[in-house]
Order: sequence, then C-alpha cells, then structure tokens
Amino acid sequence: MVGIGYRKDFAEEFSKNTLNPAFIEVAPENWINVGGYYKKMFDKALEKYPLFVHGLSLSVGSPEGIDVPFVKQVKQFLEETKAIEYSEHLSFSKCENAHLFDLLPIPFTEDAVKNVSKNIRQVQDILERKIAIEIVSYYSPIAPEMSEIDFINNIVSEADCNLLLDVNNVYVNGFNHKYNPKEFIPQLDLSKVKYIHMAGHTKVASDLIIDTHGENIIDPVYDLFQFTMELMHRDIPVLLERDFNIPELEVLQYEMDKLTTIKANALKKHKNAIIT
Amino acid sequence: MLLKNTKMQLLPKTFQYQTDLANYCKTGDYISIPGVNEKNIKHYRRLVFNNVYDSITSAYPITKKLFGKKKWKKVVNRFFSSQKIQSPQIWYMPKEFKDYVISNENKLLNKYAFLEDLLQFEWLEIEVFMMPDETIEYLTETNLYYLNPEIRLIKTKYPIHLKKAKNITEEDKGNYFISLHRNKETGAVEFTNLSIPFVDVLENLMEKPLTENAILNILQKYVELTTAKSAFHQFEQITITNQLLFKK
Repeated sequence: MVGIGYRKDFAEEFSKNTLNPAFIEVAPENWINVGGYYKKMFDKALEKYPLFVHGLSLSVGSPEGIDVPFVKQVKQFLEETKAIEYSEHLSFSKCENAHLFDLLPIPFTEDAVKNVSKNIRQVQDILERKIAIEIVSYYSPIAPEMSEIDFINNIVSEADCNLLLDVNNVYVNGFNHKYNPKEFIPQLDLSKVKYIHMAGHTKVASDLIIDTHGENIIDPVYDLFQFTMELMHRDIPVLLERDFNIPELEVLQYEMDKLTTIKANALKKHKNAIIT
Repeated sequence: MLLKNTKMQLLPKTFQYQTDLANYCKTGDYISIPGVNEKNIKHYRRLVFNNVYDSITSAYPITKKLFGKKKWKKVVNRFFSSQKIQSPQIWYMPKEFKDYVISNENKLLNKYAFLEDLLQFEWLEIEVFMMPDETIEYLTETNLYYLNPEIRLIKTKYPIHLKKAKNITEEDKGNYFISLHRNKETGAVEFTNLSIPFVDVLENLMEKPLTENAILNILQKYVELTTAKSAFHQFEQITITNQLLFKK
C-alpha cells in the first residue's frame, strides 16, 4: 500500500477523489484540539482512508526527557482516529523546555543512545504500543563519537522500537556525508522496518542537499527505493511526502503509482511476499 | 562553564552540545561545537527561524504591515531568541508571540497605543477558526434563540476592526465590543461590532437560550420597547444570516 501525507493545502481537491491513496498520514500536532472547516474535511477523509500518524514535536532526543501530558494527548488522538501506526523522528526539537519546531541532529554518542532509548521506552509505555522511529536527514554531525549506523542500530535495539526508513533521507545523508546509501541500508535491522517514507529534496550547494519535501522524487531515490524493497522480502506501507511547492495532484498520483509499481516488481522476486 | 544536567541521563558535555545547537538556532549566536560542519550548520538557524517567522507572520498580517518588514523581523527575532516556546503545536505558537509583545515590547506598545487590541483581535481570529467543534443542544421548547457556541467576545479601546491600523488615532479611543464567531457551514470567522445592550444579550445567551421577550426585556434596560424591538429585528436579520444566532 502507498499513501499520501494529507495536507490542508490540497484538502478541498482531495475531497473530490482526485487522488487514490491506500492510506493518509497526518501530524497529530496539526489536529489535536482543532475543529472547524478543515477538521470536517479531515473527518470525512478518515471515513474513507486508514490513518498513519507521524509526529513532529515529541522530541525523543530532548535532554530534559519527554513531555508526558503531550504524549497522553497523542494517545487520545491515536485512539480517536484508530491510527494504524505512530511514528516520530530520531532528532530533538525541544531543548531547555523550549520548542524549536525543527528536527535537530542528536550527537552520536553512547550517553545520547541511552537518553533517547529511555525516552522512546517511556513513550511506548504510555502509548501501550511500539512506535516507529525515523532516520532523519542531517546537515552536520554534532560531536560524534560513534558512526551514524551504530547510533541508529543501538537505539532501535535498546528502545525495542520499530524503524521508519525514509529512503530519501538516507540518500540525502549519503550525499551530504559522503557515504554510499546502498552500503548503509543493509546494515540496518531491516526486520524492524514497519514503514517507509519517500520524498523529494532540494540541492542548495554542490555538496549539500536539504530535505525539503518540496520537489518531485528524483530517479536515484526511486532506484534506492527499489534496492530497499528488494532487500525487504516483505511488503511495507510506503508514504509519499509532499509538504511545499505542491504540484497538480496528478503529479502526486503519478509518483504514488510509480512507487506501487516499483514495490510490486521488487517483491515479485520473493515468492511469499504479499503485495497490497 | 557547562550547564547543569538535572536529569543525569546525558553526560554534561552532550547536554551542553545540544543546548549550544538549540541556542544557536534561537539566537544566531554560534558557539563552536566539536565535529560540526560550520558551513552547513547555518542552515539549521535559517530553517528554524524561517519556520517560526512564517507561522507568526501568517497569524498577524495586519500588525506586520503596520510595522514594516524590517521592524517585524526584528521583533520576531527578539521574541524567538528570548522566549521558551511552550506549545508543541506550531499553529498555537503565535499566541505566545502576542503574549510576549504585550508583556515586553513597551517601546512598540507606546508607539502604537492600539497594538495590544490589534494583536488580540488577530489572534482571536485564529483561535476561533481552529477551536474544537461545539454543538448546540437544542431544547424541546420552540422559538428560542441560541448563541453560536464557537464564539469569543472581546472589548477593545480602539476600533481595530473598523479602521485601517495606520489611520487609528487617540481620538478614536473609547469602548468597543466585538464578537468573533465561526460560521458552521463555511468555517469562516466573522466579526460583529456590538453595542453595550447587545453585549448584554449575548452574555445572557451564553448562559442559556432565550425567547424574543426575554431578549427584549434585556434591551429595555437601555432603550424603550419600540426602539428595542426595531433594534433587535435588525440585529436578528444580520446575525441569523451570519450564524451568530440560531432560532429554533
């Protein structure tokens, strides 16, 4: 199944069935304690599509720990919307009790692994479900003492959480930090991958890509997606993210169709894979 | 000097590096962090600030126009660099900006006497647009007037809802009452300029639905019956159409 990030920017057109996703995804921060015109449209979309929830402000990397009342609000939202999956970012967006509303890189250190793992476990205890944690794109390491792959693998293992594999982010990180994404992905614990994100990005310098979600997916990222699906040996829900510079919805449908085809072709190689 | 990490989960140096990065994103003042690509790290400050700037700017378009781009950017920067934003929901963050300006930006408040009113009004438009849905519990009794529950009332000293901000002067100072409500069909926020008698009516309607006679009784505290009837029928026509009131 291939879904789409549900956005107010195209909610009206979406309500006219101009897109055909298998599911939709929203950020709970945009809908908790919200009503009105767009909430009515969202409620209608929920009648038709299963929901995946992808948070922005949980900040599992926060030095000060997690915001328990906020996690409880998320729990209520997940229950009310019958959300299938809740995922968040392996980053921090809150520090010294101040929200920053962006995904900052956590130092790749042993103590940070312990801090993040403790935070994720606490979230999972409150939610009474596992969460999937997303490998984020980053533009600079911060005082690293271990490799990125060890940092991620140690957290997934210590927190006993799932993984959201954003294929575009791995591509962006490979480009920005000069490693081969096709060598990076097989080193992840792929049995933990419960969800995949795909998106476009923006090259802002000859040696830097910013993960904008504002462009179409480029061919090398499709290629990395095919490579990933061939490693998976099973079907995984895939989301197309488009947050800015929204094109005609046919373009988004074309991208979703292409992802569906690539996934189906990759999984054909595995006899037992069930493709949805 | 290293900051104290009260949670003891992180080593002080890791805590410090995360805090330094967060402070850089807030203030633009960079303190060297080991292993950082100094050319790329500036993108975090840019992305974080732009996100906050865009959210606040879309919430207060009239105030931004009044200040001009340069002054506006400076006040947003002062807010973001000095305050600890508490809401995890970015759409709600502009309320914290409004509260900051009203409590801290005395120079601006002195220059623009109506600034507090303007910020309150612009914020309430968002609050009413976004507020959770509320339903009207209709009683079995008929011919009752019900107030739209998706509503906020404010009192201002300046007519920020009636005049362009740049044209408001001290001579406009007075008492103005405004209701902002959400149209249940379109979701649009509409405002109504209220006289004191109708503020009294709405405040009573907030308690419970009223008959026409009960409303006229309230209005008769201010005017005689004929005027009350005429004023109410005019008010009723407008407010039923724009869904401030419902009659059932």
